[in-house]
Amino acid sequence: MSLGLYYYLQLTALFIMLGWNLYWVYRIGQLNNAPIAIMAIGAYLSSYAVLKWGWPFPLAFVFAIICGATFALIPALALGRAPAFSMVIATIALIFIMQTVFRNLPWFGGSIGLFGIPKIKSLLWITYGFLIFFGILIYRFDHSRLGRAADVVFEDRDVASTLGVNFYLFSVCLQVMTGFIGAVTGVLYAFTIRTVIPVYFGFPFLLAITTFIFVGGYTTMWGVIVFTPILWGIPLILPENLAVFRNFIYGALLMGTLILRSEGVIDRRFLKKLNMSVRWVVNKISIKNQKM
Amino acid sequence: MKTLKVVSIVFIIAFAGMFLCFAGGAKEEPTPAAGVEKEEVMAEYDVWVNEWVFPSSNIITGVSAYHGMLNEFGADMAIEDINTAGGISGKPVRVRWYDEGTQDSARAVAAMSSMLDMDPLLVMGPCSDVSVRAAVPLAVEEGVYSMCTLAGYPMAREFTPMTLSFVANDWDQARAAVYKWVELVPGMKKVVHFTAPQSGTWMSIAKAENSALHDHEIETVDIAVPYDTVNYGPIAVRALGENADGMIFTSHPEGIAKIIVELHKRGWTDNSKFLLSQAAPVPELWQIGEGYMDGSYVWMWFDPNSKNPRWEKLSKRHEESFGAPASFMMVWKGYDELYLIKKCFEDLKITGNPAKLKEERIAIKNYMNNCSFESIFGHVKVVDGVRQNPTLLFKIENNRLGEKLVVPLDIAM
Repeated sequence: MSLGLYYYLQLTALFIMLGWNLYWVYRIGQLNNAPIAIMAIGAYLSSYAVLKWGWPFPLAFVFAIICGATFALIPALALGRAPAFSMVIATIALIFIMQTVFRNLPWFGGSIGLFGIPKIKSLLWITYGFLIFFGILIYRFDHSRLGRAADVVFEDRDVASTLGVNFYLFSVCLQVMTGFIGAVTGVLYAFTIRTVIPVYFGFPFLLAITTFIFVGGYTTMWGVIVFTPILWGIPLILPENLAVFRNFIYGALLMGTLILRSEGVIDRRFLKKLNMSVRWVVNKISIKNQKM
Repeated sequence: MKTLKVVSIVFIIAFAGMFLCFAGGAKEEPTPAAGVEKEEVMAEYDVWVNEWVFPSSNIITGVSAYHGMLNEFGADMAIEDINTAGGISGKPVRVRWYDEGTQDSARAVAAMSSMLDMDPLLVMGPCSDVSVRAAVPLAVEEGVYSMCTLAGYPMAREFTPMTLSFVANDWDQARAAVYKWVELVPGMKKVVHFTAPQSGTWMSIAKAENSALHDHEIETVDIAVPYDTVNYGPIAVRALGENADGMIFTSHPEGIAKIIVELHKRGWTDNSKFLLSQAAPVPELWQIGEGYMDGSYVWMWFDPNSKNPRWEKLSKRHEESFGAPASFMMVWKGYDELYLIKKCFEDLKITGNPAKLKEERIAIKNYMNNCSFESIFGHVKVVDGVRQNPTLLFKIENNRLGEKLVVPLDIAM
């Protein structure tokens, strides 16, 4: 496999995981950017454990994930009832706080960061294993009574509470779950890039992921899966002279999508139509086979 | 609603079309540099390629895209001059640009992996700290030499001998500059240091400057200047509150200029007690700080007032394009990289033959780590992958770099 393809696949998988992080909490109407901060925690702690304490990768992995998910609980408890806008602002602030903390802690290398992280064999397989696991988890959530409860909460919190949905508990649980995914993504990112600097975990991530999710569609988990590889791959696919207009293309796509399909390209109606079309084709084929 | 949608689509398509059609502009016909005559250069050995294509990782998008534009600007001029003079070993040169984004590690890694897939003899770039740290390990593993010429001391050392840096003796230079400044402005007991914690390179320079101040038993107080500061007044007030005798600015030019303006508005008068670090003298500094900068000292590792005809041509072209003479390193980075490549390839008789790729990569690495070449400022040496620059201390006069002092590095050793 060529290096370009390897990193394309690896980074695409990580972006999909991050996209799902945003998607999952947004199911209840809260746009939570904290997973990027948790990602920094996962990346730093796992790198530190491997480099300074000499821990094996699996142990460092588990340690970083436990710490990340535990840390996710702190903002989750405070922001559990926050309205969507407050959540966005508070969690963006959390990203900056986390960057500043890591920049000012000398044992994490300050602004120079940690480097020389060892290469892990089969990282691509590990990453895709986690991607499939998280995909199944979110799919099961979406198709369970919890998913239906999330739909009601998204539409109206008060109605949801009259139906017995504890919004606060729901929100805290989802934020901790996305913290868990964020920490896993952080560890995998650190061992992919093999260095960590505070500025890695900042706005470029946020902007990219927001574009992927809002263009792809924020009402289903499939929008991120389909559009992350496309949007992330734009500069790699386009000719040299056009690839530099990446940000312009992202912006135009985002504008166009918000105007034409406010729920993103792949929304529930689209999936329903797709489902019906597939069934129609399958029926046609089976009828044809019966006649024969 | 439907009309609105149609109008929106038409608007977006029209805007996209116009942007893509006209954003590139037109390129001038190449003209040879002063002193460069067009000549037919015939290679005395068998060059395998028809054209030399060098992949370069550059900051093309994001808030620092201006830096990437300058890099491309200088490289374009070098390409014109080199091709007009017969290319490298008789073959024309081209640079293929890859976008590393602004402080975007994922994009930097994607750019580097795409470049390495070309099986290059070497790669130019990456440019920023973040990209160097993220992407150069890939090149090192593949045995490809990286001309990440802006990598400061900590990073250049980390990847030696697989990288070339034009700036990595900044520790010695920064110390020498401070030693000279303290000699010129005696009697200081306390100095406020404006730093940029976001940048590893700048922080290492700030550390060197502080160490030189401590050698003179001068107390230092660091004040961080975030890139996204809107109001610089509070930073200036805090600095004045320290009752310091002098101030060193190791931060981004816009911030430096705005802080100096704020300091003057609050009563500061003696500019000789300001020392600005090397990255400062760019058009932003002159425009924002106009009327407040004269008398300050700036230390640099190259001379923007150089009389070298190649530099004068580049600087003049820069002034025509950007409204101020060239004074920022990014503008000659790509230029000097290409001239160093030219010398290296012609001296080593590099063929570009894929069958010899491995041995030619090793030869290039060994050559570039210790060599000398004619840079845009004249003859320079590279020792152990680090370009040996002089330390120059300028005084700002009439809102431009004025009187120059050449400071020997051993002053601080």
